[in-house]
Amino acid sequence: MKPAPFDYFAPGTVDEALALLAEHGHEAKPLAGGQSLIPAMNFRLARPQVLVDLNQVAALSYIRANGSGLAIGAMTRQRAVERSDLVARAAPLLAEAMPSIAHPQIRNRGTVGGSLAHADPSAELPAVALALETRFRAKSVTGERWIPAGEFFKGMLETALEPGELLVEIAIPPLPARSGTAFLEMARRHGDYALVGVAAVVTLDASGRCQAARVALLSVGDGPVLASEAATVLAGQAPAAELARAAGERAASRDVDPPSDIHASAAYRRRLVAVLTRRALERAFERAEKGSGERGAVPSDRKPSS
Amino acid sequence: MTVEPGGRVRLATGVGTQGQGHFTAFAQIVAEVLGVDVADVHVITGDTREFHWGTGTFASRGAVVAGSACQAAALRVREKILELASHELEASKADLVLAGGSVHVRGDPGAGITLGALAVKANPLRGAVRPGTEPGLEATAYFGPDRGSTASGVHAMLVEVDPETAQVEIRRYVVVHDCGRVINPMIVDGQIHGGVAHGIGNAFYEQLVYDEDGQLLNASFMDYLLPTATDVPRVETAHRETPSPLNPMGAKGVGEAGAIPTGALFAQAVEDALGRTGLEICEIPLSPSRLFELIEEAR
Amino acid sequence: MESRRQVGERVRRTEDARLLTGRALFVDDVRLDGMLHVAFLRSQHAHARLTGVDATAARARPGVVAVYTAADLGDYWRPGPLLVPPPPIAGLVFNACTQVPLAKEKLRHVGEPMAMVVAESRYLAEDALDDIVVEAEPLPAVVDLEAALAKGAPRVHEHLPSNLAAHAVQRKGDYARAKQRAHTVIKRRFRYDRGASAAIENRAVAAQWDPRAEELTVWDTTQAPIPIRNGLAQLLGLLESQVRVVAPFVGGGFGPKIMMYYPEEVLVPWAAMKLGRPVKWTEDRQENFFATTQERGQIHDAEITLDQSGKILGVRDVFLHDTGAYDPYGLTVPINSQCTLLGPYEIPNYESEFTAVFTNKTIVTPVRGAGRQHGVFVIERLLDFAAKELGIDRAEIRRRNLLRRDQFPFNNEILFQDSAPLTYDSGDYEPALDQALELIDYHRFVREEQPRLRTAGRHVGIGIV
Repeated sequence: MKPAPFDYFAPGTVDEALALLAEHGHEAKPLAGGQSLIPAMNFRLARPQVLVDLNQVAALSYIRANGSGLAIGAMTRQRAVERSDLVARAAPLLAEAMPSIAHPQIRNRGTVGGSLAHADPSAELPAVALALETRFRAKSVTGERWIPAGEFFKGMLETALEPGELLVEIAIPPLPARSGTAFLEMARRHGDYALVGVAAVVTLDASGRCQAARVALLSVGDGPVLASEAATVLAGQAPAAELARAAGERAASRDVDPPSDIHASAAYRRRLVAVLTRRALERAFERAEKGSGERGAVPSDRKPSS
Repeated sequence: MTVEPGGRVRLATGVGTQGQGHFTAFAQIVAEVLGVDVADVHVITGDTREFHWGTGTFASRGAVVAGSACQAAALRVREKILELASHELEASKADLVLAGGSVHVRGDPGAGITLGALAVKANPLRGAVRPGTEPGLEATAYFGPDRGSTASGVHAMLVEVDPETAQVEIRRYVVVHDCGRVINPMIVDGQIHGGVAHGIGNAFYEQLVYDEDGQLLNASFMDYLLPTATDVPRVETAHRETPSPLNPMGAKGVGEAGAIPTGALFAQAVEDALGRTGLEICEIPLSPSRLFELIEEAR
Repeated sequence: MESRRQVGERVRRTEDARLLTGRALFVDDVRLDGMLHVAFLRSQHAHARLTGVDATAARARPGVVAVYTAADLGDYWRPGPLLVPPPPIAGLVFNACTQVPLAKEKLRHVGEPMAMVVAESRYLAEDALDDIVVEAEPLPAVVDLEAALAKGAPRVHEHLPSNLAAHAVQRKGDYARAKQRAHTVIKRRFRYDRGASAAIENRAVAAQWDPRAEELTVWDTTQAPIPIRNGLAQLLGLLESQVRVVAPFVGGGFGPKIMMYYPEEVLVPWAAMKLGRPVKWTEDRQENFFATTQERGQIHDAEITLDQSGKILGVRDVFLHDTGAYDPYGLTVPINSQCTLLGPYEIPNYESEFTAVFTNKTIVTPVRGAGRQHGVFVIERLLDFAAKELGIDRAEIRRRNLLRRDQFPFNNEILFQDSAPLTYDSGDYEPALDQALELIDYHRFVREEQPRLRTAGRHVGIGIV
């Protein structure tokens, strides 16, 4: 398990990195935390001719609050996000999902941008990003653009990033008032890829009924899946155990067509979708009803998190 | 086995170690017979230059076969020690005591000689060996029992099953084990714990999956699941000893025992947890997905 | 002052300080001047006719010192020895087919080695694997045990009329007669599937030939250095005293490291002698899944007959055993299954029949438990189903069938892997059962705790075997 030969560059700035990616096109791969790429290279399943190591590009690592929510640099280590007070307050769903990502050792090196750009259908961050209506900032030598989460994930390990484009930042909008979030996944062992996972956001209106709901599922298809049918079950309804159960059933029967693999049959995945969606919604309802003023407010503190 | 001039004991055997603690267990046997410290017994295994005969470590045979041979060699060396010491100390063998790395006259610890000094005396300078004796405090012994011995045990377990997700969690795991004479209870515990971990893996996590073309679908630890420290419960162990009459140590072997009944135990306990259903578990390994299938089928 | 008691004491291990501080020698730690590294080209097919292995381009790659195929081994190429001849079971059918150092004409499992590349580094050796051109004609793979024995099934070993590797029947008493007296008969099919030993250290072999001293030193992650030394000496035409095999610290054996004369084990020393430079091969984890032996696929059709009180009158078991592509280790595993099924119970009448089957999978040799698990699974499950049917408690039905202390030594008559009748030397089983029941508080759990938990919606179960 030794990788095939490759050329290696370690640029110090974003512009240098973009120039290298533009120059080498399809032959180049950016190296972020390496927790997915390096094993793939060792197995010779991935054979980039050129590795553009982003780990010296300090400018890509930050967690900031601004007027439009939370901004996280693509090279921010997962562990930093996990420990950030800012994230805990502004995006509790993200904070709750972090410990489910692999193991602490992997989160020490793995990056937020790396995981999102890798787009593994069993990864937690894509589903969380989808549930939170995250926007992705992509940059290349020709300019930059914003891609909404719904358009970012194209398929199995495939994103909307074009050759030469680098994901540089994700932007998470503030959670509306009276929102509750919950993240749940089921894995064989602690730290494993999930068999099925759920990231749920519910927002209640003034009368306490469900005004909006976003339920994103992972490990059920080629990428994160937004359970839109389940959301229609919730719309305008008062939170209740029976409602959560119905939404779970709907998600399982109408929102997913899960694969069978050696770890779980399609039928088992459907069962997990139903059960975990129900449990996640119950928890999200509870949190939305308990409410906490700070979740609705955008922190005005402009100091970047360490 | 050789007592060296420095007083340490050198033991070489063909039964090697892959982590079972042989260095310590064999040293304990020798230390007790020769009255030395375990730390002063230097065990060498796994090198054909050091020892010429034998097969190896397998089938839980280490303690029985090599343990017995170590004891036999140690007893022969002890005999040589007593023989030479009785001559040197002008005392009868029955009055001699081996302790603390020396041999001395009972009741008179001052009148003694260290094993190291005795070893030097056993190697006459002019090469003049007394008739009927061999130089050095050294012996080689072999052991092969007539038949295999039979260890036994009982495993018990409490499991909780989530009927919605078919996830299984072990709440308690108890092992009562009889491997005959126990040389080092800590090492035996280690073997049992390791065996149980192996057994849990085989019962609930590990499965080599081949497709119809003979391709192995899970040739990596990402997909071939080994239980980790968080998946293996604390194993409560109790020891019993019914010594084996087939070897002088009375030992029976313990290396594999922990791994053997776990599949049967899982099947029984999980069926019990799910109660009065038509569910019958006739296969191992299980996974939550497969258990879910079986539960649905039984319904 | 008498010598202190040591046996029976919890003495801390003397070897741990070295192991924990990285001062222990493992085979991959061996670094020698001028050492070369090996990578093996392994079959991607489970079953194929091998018609060509062209290493020309690989040999031309800079940094590659040699590439060997079966043809290059000349007289050195030969199938390995049968390590464990089966015991003299009456009427035994046994077909010995042992592994070869490099595949010739046929590929029989994924991972079977076809060529050996020796280069300045493992990286370069793996690059060179891509240069080798293989001509192979895939054949249908033999995977399922029952399909393997069906008429017209593709044959793993074509000199044999079928995929039958062995057939053995062992009997004790008269099962058919016992069945006539039965109050209850329980019959089921059981499946016990394969697994790897997954030692933390993969296999590795390093070898160095000293032409002046005329001595070969081999470092090998083996559980059996002495037999390896003897075998290598014979294969290489050396005196045993010219060969030194060192098994330094080994990171877990569990059985597959006592499989001997693996292809890599016989080829690395040969290459070291041929090339006049030290050679090392370290197995990576992926290789370990194909190239190191594994265990345990069996299918049992078993039947138990009991009287009304739950006492066993007899057991009949017919099973298939997956031996993989070759069977160098004889029948140790299925015989263990056969024998250990009897367990701690008094089973006066027993009939056990097995068929070992060749398949296009990695070779099966003993892995911790070595086939005993299978036998235990069958008997314990049969007792559980019998208990259910007869309305007897699971622990109680076992108690009624346990051998008693005064019955030892107990002769179970059938032949064990040591070729002698299976005899239990000593034991006292009922107190162990009692102690386990007490430790886990079995009766109170079943009577009080379990119903209480169930009412609270929790599904907690207890098991005892």
